[in-house]
Order: sequence, then structure tokens, then C-alpha cells
Amino acid sequence: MKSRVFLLVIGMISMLSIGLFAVTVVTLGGWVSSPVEQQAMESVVKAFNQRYAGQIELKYQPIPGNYLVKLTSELSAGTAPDIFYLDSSYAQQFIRSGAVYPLDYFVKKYNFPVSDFATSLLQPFEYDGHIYGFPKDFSTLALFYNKDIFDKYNVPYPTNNWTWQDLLSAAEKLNHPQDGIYALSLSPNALDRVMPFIFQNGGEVVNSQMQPELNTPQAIQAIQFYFDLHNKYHVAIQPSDVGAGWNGDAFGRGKVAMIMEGPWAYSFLKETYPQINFGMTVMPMEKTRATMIYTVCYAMSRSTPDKDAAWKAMEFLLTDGMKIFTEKLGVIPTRFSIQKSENVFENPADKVFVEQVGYGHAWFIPTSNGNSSKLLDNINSELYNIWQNKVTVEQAVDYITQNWNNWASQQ
Amino acid sequence: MKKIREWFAGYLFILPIIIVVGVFVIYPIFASIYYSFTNYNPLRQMEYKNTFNLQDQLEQYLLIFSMKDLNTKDLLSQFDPADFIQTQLGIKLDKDQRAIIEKYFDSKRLMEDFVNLKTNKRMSGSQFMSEYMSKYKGMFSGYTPTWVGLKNFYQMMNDPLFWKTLWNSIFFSIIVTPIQTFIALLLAVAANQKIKGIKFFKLSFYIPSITSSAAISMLFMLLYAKPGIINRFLGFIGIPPVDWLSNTSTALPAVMAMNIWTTAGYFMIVFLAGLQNIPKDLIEASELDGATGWTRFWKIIIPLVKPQISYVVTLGLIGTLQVFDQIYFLIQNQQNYTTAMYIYVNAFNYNQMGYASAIAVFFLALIMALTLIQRKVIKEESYF
Repeated sequence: MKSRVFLLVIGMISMLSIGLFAVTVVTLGGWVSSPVEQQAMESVVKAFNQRYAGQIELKYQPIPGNYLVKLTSELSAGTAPDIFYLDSSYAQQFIRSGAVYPLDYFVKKYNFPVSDFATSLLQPFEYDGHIYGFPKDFSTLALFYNKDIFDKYNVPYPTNNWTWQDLLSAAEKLNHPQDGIYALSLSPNALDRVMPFIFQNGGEVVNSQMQPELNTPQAIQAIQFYFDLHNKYHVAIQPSDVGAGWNGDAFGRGKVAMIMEGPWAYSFLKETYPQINFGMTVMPMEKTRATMIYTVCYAMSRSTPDKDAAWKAMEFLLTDGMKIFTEKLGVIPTRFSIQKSENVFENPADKVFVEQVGYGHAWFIPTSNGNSSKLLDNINSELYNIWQNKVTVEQAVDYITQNWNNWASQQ
Repeated sequence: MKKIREWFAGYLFILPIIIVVGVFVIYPIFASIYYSFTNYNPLRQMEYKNTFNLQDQLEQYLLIFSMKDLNTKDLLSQFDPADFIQTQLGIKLDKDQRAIIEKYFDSKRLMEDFVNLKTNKRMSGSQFMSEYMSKYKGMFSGYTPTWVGLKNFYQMMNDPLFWKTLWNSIFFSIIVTPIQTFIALLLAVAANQKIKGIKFFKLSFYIPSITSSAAISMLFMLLYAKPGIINRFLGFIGIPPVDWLSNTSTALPAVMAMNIWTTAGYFMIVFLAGLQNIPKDLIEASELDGATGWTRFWKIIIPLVKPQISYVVTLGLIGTLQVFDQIYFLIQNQQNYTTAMYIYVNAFNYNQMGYASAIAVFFLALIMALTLIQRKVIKEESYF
């Protein structure tokens, strides 16, 4: 009996002492788009925990399923991870709601090198003179082409100087629906895929007062060219026409000669369709060059109890963590210093994406209150009407312009 | 005494389900009705509840790296209470609140406490406001969604997408319910025959209704794809392939067909029960009189299963009006959304909880009205 009591006391003391030596726990959440990505993040977290053992423990808790919906519920309940991802297209929504913590103090206190990031990558995460997140990696769009299909129909490969006309002429020679080969697979209802063409033609989507500028001849010409590839010249299809889920899948099945996608497609093709012999080049140009920049940031939750510890974790994620993550996953680091050290300008997987950053436009639509989800859903739905030939480009642009402020104004 | 004990025991037994239904069904209904008159933004729920160390927050706002040699006067000139509360503490303020803060917030005392190291404690936003507001503390005790009255309902009336989705729901319901009822009855009559292997057919008719809608949706996504099997079969009779789920004209009918296939089996069971109630001698008498199966079906069976028909139609209407999961999986274009999907999108994708609640309240009223009308109409012919 005495020994039992003794054991119980020892047990309780050891339990209590675990509590005494408790480390600060910081949780990191985000989405996971592939098992490779999950493993890459886990090695980053492991490295951090080794460095800060006994002081801070970083726990990796990715959020499965519909990220946007889950993150919103968790932030509303105060149970969100301390550090989470925010995509540039909807970051403002969260920043304006007050759920994201401003990082200026930590930047000053720990002398964080903000200038090591391109300003175009920081823009979507700034508001009212404060910075709310730092981009972890970025992608741009490039033109992928199937070398075997080009060889089959004796068409010279795309060059760095391709214009819209070059794209169209090549497409017309490559398009053989009777053989089951189409020239292009395009996204039929995505504003961000039409936007590069608008910029390439010297047009704008919104002006400095955040009002739409789609009703200009430059923008209309660009939108017309994009949808004419499907409606008029019949050289472009949408992925579901060949039973594929997205452009990369259609390309991987060998059904299309060209797609315009980002570095995620590169890893996807190498992993899932290694037999496809493809090349990549910069986006075609018209009056000027343009492409989209997609980026995601690490943001800090306002409900985080120990913000200093969370900052230390975030700083690690943006320095050594970024090195580990980008090397393992083949995505492009956002810091100039790491780009240099990883030689991204020589790496064939990264080169074509990084060299377009100079003329890339960050993927987000500025609105006066930060919300753009409803606006984008409505625009994309109307774009699909153009694809289905239910409305003309002018009609669609008029409709979008008239309803823009209505769709953009939410609480 | 015994009676009270019996009551007590009875209520104790049903207490769990009362709690569950109360918390997850009854309370949300009333909460939705309340929120439909506000512009509730769920992301602001934690505004006044988030805790922080006041000294840390002041240091960070004023960019102070050392607590030595601080001058209250200098700090006071740099300190804007409304800006501090909004930017640093993340509590959004409207014009009236800002004006009241300008007047009644005791910045001087806050700066004095800060310099004298009295602010090194953890507190929530509401506690902070209660501590340093000389008047109107109640205004800052928590996030209350702004009351906007009927604004959400006006927005709803003027929203073309709301009307489109409402029409989609009604269209879905009006077409699917009669077809699914009729097919369920046919299946029941077929499954009621005393032939060998009938159990296999009963089972295979019923299985779709108990299979997960996610699994069935994935299956149909492949069937309906442009290079899918359905297009192959249609090709044999000369119809060109159609992208059933992407094409906005065919997406909803495709989902409707899938819905009929999944739910007919469920209602077949109801009709099977009803068919058992038909007296055998009626059937035998009709056979003797030389009635064909078809006549028997229309003149004897249908009139005698009227109660079941009314039940199936009522449930069918309610269920099809609220269809969500199959739309969520298969429909990509918002023009093909149904009302339930539109409510979800507004609530969770656009953060417009108030507006979504307004649509939900309207829809609740609509379904209640339809059900009451239906009960009145059917009552006259009820055989219960």
C-alpha cells in the first residue's frame, strides 16, 4: 500500500514537472496540395524544432478540405493556427477583418530584411501602411509545349519572341481534332488567365480608383482574342472536353499541344506523366510583355497568445525554412538572396518562371473594402458565358462593368 | 410522489436529445432569424475576446524598444486611441464609436500607467475598454453585429442571382418530385411480384439511396464526362457528345436525373408498405373480371396508395427544394446553383452571414407555406 502511494506521488510530481518545463507551442497551418509538399513542410518544422528545442515547439497542423471555409470558421472561433497561409487573391479580405496581426513591430525589432522581397510580391499583403504577411514562394505563368506534337506536324517550337499572331498560326497548324489532338487547352472561366492577355495588349483591369477598365478597346481586343481561340478559330478546348480536370491533366494525356500554366504543372508532369516530352517558354507578347504572379504569404493570427514566439517561427520559415522548402519542392523562393544562393536563374525548372517576374502582375483585384470573392465569382461566371457563345465580349464587359461596384461592395 | 418521479425519469431520458436538437437545430433557427436583420461578419467574433499583454501592444504601437526614460507628454502626443484600438488591437470602429472614443477615452491615464509599468498584464479588448473609458463602457463590451433592419431582404429582392437560384430550386423540385414518385411506385409494383430473385431487385433498387452522395457524385462525374460512357451510348444513336456537367444548359438536368436515380429507391420502400395494405381479394376480383395489369395499376393500385403518394410527394418536395450536396460536388457555375448552395456560398465564401441568413429565413417561410398548402389540399382526400 505504501509503495503504491509512493508511486502515485512520484507520478504526480513528474507530471507536474512536465508542466513546469513547458515550451511555448506555435501552430502552423495551411493547405496541402500534394504529399511531397507535406513532407517538405515537415522537414522544415523538424529543422526549426531542432534549432529551438526547449524554447519553442512548432506544430505542423495542415488544414484539409476547403481551406477558405475552414480558416474562416477557425478564425471566428479563435482556434485558428498561429501561422497560416493566405493567398494573394483573398488576403485583403482577412486583413481588413482584423483577424491578421500586423508585423511592422517585429520587422523593426529584429531588423527583418524587407528589401530582400520584390515589392510586387509584398503588395497584396499590405494595407494602410502596415505589412500583414510575407510571401513564402511564388509562381508565374509560362507557355508549355509538347515537343512531340510540334514535331509531328512540323511546326517550329515557340520562341521568346512569339506574338499573338505566332501563337495563332502555330495553333492552326497543330489543331487536328480528327486525330484527337487540339492546339490549346484554356481555362474557360478564370479571369486570372485572361488577364495576362489584357496586360499584354496595354490594357488594365482596374484603375487607380479601383474602378473597372475592361470597357477599353485594348481590354476588349484581348478578351476577344482569348475567347476567339475557342469560338472563332476552334483551336482551343477546355480541359473537361477531353475528360481532364485541369489544363495540366489535358496536356499530360497528350491531347493538347500547348497550355499556359505555372511551376506546379512542371512538377505534376514530371511526376505523373514523365513520358511527355515538353518544353517551356515565356508567355507570348503583343504590345508589351505580361504574366501573372501567384503568391501565398505566411500570416499571424491575432488570437496567438505568444506573438514573439510566433514571429521567431515565421522568421525561420522565411529564411532557412524557405531554403529547405523551395529546394525540396521546386517552387521559387521569394527572397532575392535565396534566389541567388539556389541559382534559380540556371535551374531549368525555375528559369522561365523567375525571368518573367519583372513584367508579372500580382494576382489580386483591389477593391475598396478588400472583398473580391463575390466579384470574381460573378466575373468568372460571365466569362464562361462568352466561352459558350451565349453573349458577345462587349455585352459581357458591359454587364461586368455595370455590376462591378455592386458585386464588390460587401460588409 | 410516484408520478413526479415518473415525469422526472421520463424527462431525464429524453434530456440528451432535447439538448442536441435544441443546440443544433432550434437555436440556429432563431439565431439565423436574428442575424438576417444584421450584417454579421463571423471573422469579427473574436474582436473583443482576443487577449493581449497591454504593455506589449503599447510598445509595439509606439515602436518603443526600451522602457527607460519615457516621457508621458511625448507619448501622449503620439497616441491616437481610435487608431490604436483599430490597428493594433484589431477592433473595428464605426464613426459614432470613434467620436465617443475621442471624447471619453482616458489616454492620459493610459500613458501614465504605461510609463509607470502598470500595464504589464494580460487582458481582453472588452476589459481594456471598460478600464479606460470614462463613459459609455457598455458600447465596447463585445462585438454586436450592426442591426440593418430589412436591408438584407431588399438586397435579396434586387439580386438577380437570388431569383435565378430560387427558380433553379423550384424547377428542380417540380420536375424531380413527380418523376421520382412515379418511378418509385413503378419499382414498388415491380418489386412486389412473387417471382424468384425478387429480393435481388429490391436490394439493387434500394442501394443507391443509402450510398454516400459523395461517392455517387464522383461516379456520375465520370459517367457524364465528355468522353464518358453516357456520351458513347448516345453516340450509337447519332447524338453528338455533350459535356453534361460543364454546359450550363445541361448541368442541372443532369444532376436532376442523378437525383431521381438515388432517391426513387428510398420511396419505393414506402410504396411497398402501401401495396401490402391492398386487400388481395380486390386484386383477384379484378383478375376475374378480366382487367389487365395496366388497368389494375391505374384504377385500383393508385387510388389505394393515395396516402403514401401524398407522403412521398411532401417529403420529395421538401427534400428536392433543399438539395445541396450533389450541387456542391458537381455544379461549378453559379448560374446553376440552387438556393441551398447559394446560402452556403454567401455565408462561407463571401462572409455575408447576414445576407445568407436572410435568404435562409425566406426559404424557411417558403417551404413552410408550401407544406401547409399541400396539407390543406391533400387533407380532403386523406384516407388516414
